[in-house]
Amino acid sequence: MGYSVSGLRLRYGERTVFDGLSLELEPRTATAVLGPSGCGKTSLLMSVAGLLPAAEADRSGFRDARFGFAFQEPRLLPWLSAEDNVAFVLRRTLGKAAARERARDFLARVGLAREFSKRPSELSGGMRQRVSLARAFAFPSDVLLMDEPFQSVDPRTRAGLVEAFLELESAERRTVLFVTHDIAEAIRIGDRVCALSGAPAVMVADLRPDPKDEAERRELETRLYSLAFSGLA
Amino acid sequence: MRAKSERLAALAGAATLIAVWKLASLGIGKDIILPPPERVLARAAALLSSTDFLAALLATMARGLAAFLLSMLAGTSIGAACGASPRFEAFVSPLLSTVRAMPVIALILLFLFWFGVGVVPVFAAFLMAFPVVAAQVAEGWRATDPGLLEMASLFRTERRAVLLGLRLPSMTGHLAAAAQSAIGLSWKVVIAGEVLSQPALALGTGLQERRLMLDTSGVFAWAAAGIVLCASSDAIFRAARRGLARHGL
Repeated sequence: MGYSVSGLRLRYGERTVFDGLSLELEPRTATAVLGPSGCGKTSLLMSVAGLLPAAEADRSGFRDARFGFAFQEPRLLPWLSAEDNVAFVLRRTLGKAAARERARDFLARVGLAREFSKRPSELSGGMRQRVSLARAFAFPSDVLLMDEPFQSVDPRTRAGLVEAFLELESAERRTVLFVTHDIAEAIRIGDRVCALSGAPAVMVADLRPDPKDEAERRELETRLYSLAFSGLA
Repeated sequence: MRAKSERLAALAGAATLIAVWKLASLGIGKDIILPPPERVLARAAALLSSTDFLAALLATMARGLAAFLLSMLAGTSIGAACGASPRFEAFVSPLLSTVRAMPVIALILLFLFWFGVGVVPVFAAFLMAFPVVAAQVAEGWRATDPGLLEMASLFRTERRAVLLGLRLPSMTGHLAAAAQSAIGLSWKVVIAGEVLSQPALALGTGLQERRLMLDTSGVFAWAAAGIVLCASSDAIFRAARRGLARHGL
């Protein structure tokens, strides 16, 4: 069974962000939601998680779901090591020893096997975001909500983070809702790519790129760029 | 390099202070008004072998530490509650403002009616120091990174883990600053309280007795003990704060 939200309505003062938007996530797939800054991407994530009191929606499809999160910034506790940062969110569910073991496992999987004991200040920006990625995947969740987690790093680091994400995603097969304003990133990451536009925001594209068909992916990218240039995405 | 030059500047400042003191004492020419530094130093050195002085010093230290611990305990609890609840902060603000505005001498004289002479300095120092701790802790509570709090809440982290693993470490810098201020205030107010309340064993009592005997170099030597207490606790907390900052706290 998929996870769904329907009839999503959200207003900030005079501005209507959503007026009846619906979104269904297929289980164990990554859905990338594209949209320009300020179109309501982060609000969509928060509404899906039931964290925006102002949002009205039928969230019955998400009622029992457990959520994991990756944020735009790494949001790591500066006084804890990479390992303890990941274990911090796992202890309640797994207990101390298992949390530590799982934290080490996921940190190793994002290429930080030698950085377990380093504090955030001793890590580069890309490494910090890898810790955040490891934390998001290590947390036992049904749905992983990701809010432009790679936007604050340089393009090369970003490419490395996307690869780390894809490796974790293919091994874990979580249901992922990933918002971004980067078209290439959305196509690279999403099994499905949705584009939001307008105020109130509506879905202007719902595409399923074939990961093996490079030509099709390039064509989708071109279509989405032309949508963006015409002001729709 | 900068630390070294700052240490040299501090040494130069201390040397200047002693030189001015020496010159002033030479100029005045009366030990009863301003004794020279070497005489005060000799008196202070002699005090180190006096059991009366050491007993008084220990008693004053016990009072200062008691006031410090009480003010940290009360200040941390009240400060955290103020940080968490603006309504509670508004509720206790008249009390804190009154205590902060009250002259310490008035407080000590008032306490002399109510308490035994040994505990008056402790209560007075506690009342002076705990509002400072409460204010710092409240500020530290509010300074906790909201992004980290949101992260902990989204990952459904236990309240206890948020308090001990996030709130408390976030406040550590403020708590250490509060402790540094509280210990300094505790020594000063305890000694002032002892001067007025005259417990049997106390640095303040020693100071008062020397004053009555017009023993100015004695007053200086006993006061030096208070200065050493303040300066050494300040140095310890300063070093602790540097250590905490190195650990991301």
